[in-house]
Amino acid sequence: MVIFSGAEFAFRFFPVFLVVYYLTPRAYRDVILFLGSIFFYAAGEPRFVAVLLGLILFNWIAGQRIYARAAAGSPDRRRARRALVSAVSVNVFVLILCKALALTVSSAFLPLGMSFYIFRMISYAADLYRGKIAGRPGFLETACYFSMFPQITQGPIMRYGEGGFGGAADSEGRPLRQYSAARFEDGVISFAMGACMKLLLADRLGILWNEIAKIGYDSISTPLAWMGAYGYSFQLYYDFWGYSLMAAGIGMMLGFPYIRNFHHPYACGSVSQFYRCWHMTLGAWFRDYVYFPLGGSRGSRAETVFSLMTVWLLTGLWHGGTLNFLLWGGILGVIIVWEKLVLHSLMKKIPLIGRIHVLLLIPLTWVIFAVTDLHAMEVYFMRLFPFFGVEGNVNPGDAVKYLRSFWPLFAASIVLLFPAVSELAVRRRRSPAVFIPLAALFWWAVYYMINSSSNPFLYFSF
Amino acid sequence: MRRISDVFRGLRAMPLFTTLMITTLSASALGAAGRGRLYDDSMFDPLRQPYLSLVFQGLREGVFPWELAERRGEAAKAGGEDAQASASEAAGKGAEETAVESPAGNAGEAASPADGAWDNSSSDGSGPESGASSEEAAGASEAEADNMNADSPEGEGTAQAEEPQAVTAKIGGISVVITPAMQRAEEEAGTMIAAARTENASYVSAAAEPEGVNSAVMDAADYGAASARYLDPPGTEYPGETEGIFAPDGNYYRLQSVPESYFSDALFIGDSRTDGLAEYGDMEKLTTFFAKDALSVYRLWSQRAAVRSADGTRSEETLLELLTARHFHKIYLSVGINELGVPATAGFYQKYREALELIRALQPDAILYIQGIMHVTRARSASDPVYNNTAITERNAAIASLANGRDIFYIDMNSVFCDENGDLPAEYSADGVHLKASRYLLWRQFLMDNAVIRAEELDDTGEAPGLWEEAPAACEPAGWKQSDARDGI
Repeated sequence: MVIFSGAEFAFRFFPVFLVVYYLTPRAYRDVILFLGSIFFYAAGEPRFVAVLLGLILFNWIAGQRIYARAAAGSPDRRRARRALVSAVSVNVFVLILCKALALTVSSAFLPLGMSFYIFRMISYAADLYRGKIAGRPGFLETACYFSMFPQITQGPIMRYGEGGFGGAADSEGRPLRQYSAARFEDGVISFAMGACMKLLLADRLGILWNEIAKIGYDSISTPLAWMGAYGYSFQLYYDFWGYSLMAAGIGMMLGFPYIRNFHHPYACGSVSQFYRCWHMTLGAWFRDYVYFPLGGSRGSRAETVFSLMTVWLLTGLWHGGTLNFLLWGGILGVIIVWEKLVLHSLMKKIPLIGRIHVLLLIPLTWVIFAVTDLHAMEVYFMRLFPFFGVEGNVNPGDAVKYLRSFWPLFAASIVLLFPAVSELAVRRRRSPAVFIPLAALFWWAVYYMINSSSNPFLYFSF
Repeated sequence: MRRISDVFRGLRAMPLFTTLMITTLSASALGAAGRGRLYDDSMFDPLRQPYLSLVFQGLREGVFPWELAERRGEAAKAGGEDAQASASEAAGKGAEETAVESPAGNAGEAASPADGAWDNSSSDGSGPESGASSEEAAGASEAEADNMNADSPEGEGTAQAEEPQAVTAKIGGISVVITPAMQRAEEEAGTMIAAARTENASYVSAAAEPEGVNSAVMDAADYGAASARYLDPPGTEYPGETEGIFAPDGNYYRLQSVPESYFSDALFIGDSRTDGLAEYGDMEKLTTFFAKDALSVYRLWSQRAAVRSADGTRSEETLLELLTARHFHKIYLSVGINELGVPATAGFYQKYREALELIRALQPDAILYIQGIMHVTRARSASDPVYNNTAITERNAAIASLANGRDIFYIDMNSVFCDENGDLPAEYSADGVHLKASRYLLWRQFLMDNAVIRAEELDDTGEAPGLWEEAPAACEPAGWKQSDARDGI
């Protein structure tokens, strides 16, 4: 039920929730949101509801202390800092503990979405300390913010101040939370677009990556290895972008503002820019709560390198505990340091270098991200770069065979990389030329939604 | 009135939402209307699934919503279908009762293969049974399977006893399209099949499960075309290390190594695993493949699949077209993993048996190899309630009993592939089900090491000289010309 692109969520939980939500008077909608979120979480992770509730309570109490001391003025600043440090330490400790248990004992020890809600809890404490949250947050608003189901499983990592809790308004005085037909419709559009990306592109492309694993990396041809690297890159992109659009869409249908998580990363001119446009809320979180506190780029070169590498190694660890994620984060850190400190002026003169970084290096880093076993990764790279010859049982025609069935997915993926395409669709979203094809695509996506999950006996076909 | 117009104004401001609402409601209405009538709803749970999911599942099965209107129009057709379903159900029930009444000795019989639970006797006439409809036969075999389950020490008899009807319904739901041409051919073959069908169909229970290839001592069954041509000559003595199969009649069949050319007049029928063998088994220039993802005994005759021939030609055909048009001397059948998704071994067994009978009818002088279903890895087996090795072992025991050790042989690569627990080693497979490309060569080697050579091709020394020579042409190796070797023997 916790998968937005599943029929149980899209056609059972969410419609019922929406009806109840909108039948409830505005003042009590956060109550419904909180209860619905706990129900949602319990459906996906019944064992760890208590952990979530405990963390919510702890962080609310800690937040009250930070708020009281930070608001009282400078004399208490130190005590506020102590409260902040203790709150953050507890959160970090819980996250590391669960991740370590998941890695060493069983993956069942990492509660659903914990990486995301703990990060939200840390940002909450830090924002209170920095005075970025106007007014003392109430328990219900806080609990809603931590647990809200549109964001609990995979983000985006919204800030408390962005959620319009307690009637908060934006800088121009308009309330952030709006219940209007226009916003609701935008939510539906965002959800439909996201569902299409996830079900029609990402999940279909995922078949290719599975096929490659099935064959075994030692027996794929070099063209197929490259096809796999790009196929996996597209799969990851449309999976996560689609998911983020669905999450944002669900939020908008509930009155929340749109939270942007992707902004055409593959159109970027460098790897550092790429990661300002990819999973933006995570990047911004690391920037605001790790990179800047460490000194950012204001210090000496060595300090900047240290901050960047820390951020990127932590980013790697956050994605997973195995060595390949550390390697992934480390390599990205090195590329970004290299771009920032060495190539900087050259890249300004020759933009092509940055483009090549994004379009060539990024897919290769995704291979490191995808293949958890280091030896298997080595084999895969030997296939990508067959300088040492090719052993194994390779079918030289494999790439052609798969291209024959996957080319439409690759073509659609490439077309959607151009920012103009999706931006045009968003700009003209009220026009029948957009919403009617979108509705048709959505039903096509529903076809896969239904047939890939509802009937366990028909799901696998070998 | 103002409120209503407000609602309309609101809906006009939300064009996508309105479109989706209207289509959702229509699809749900279609699903609800077709539930139980057009769509198989045996696994439908309205609490977890929307009604419209029935429509989409139907689309996948090739059932379109507008057929509902057609069915309503043609009441007779719909009625006929219902009647058919209930008839087969009734047949199943009836057979179950009779089977229960009969002395429950099947399990005992099956345990002692020499007695031949089925059948040995068909050569002396199977006339009386020729009128039996396939439904009746299906019911009978399911009922007997039940009977055996009830007798088995493991128990679970009550749970299993419910299944036959559900199975019939489910199989009916899955085997969708049978073309008229297909039906005609089946009718034509029907006479031969009926002649071959034995009276007390049953399969050997798990207790008598064969261990690997060489202990597969099977009851002989006669599919109407069994001949003594694959026998080694009487009085032949074999060195101790030679391995083979003893048929119930005391004859000894050698499983031996053969060269690649052995496969030149063979056909491999199978699912995605056989597809992998075609792709990575280094056999594409040796033999012919009829393989398709998800091929199962339920759809064996209705699905078109890629036919890859040794000479490089490719075509899309049904199995019936292929077996009618071309002549093969060996047919390897390797299906069964997908079928695990459909409950109950009895129904699977029956379908498998029907498939063998039809293949035999179409290719009277081919050696049929029933390939045991390859096991899955330990991780897969432990985590998967459906595709696990317990289920595969049970199914393999069932299909192994279809071999007759005369012209139908059961070969099982699991004895070579699997570890001491019967699990496919983890390094053999990435997804737990399919071999990695590099391991398909092992399967090929297994096939080359476990083949049966016809007596007519053996010379005095027990070798088949022609087979080991370079084959002059891919399709017509010297080994398969009608030689005089037989006279020499």
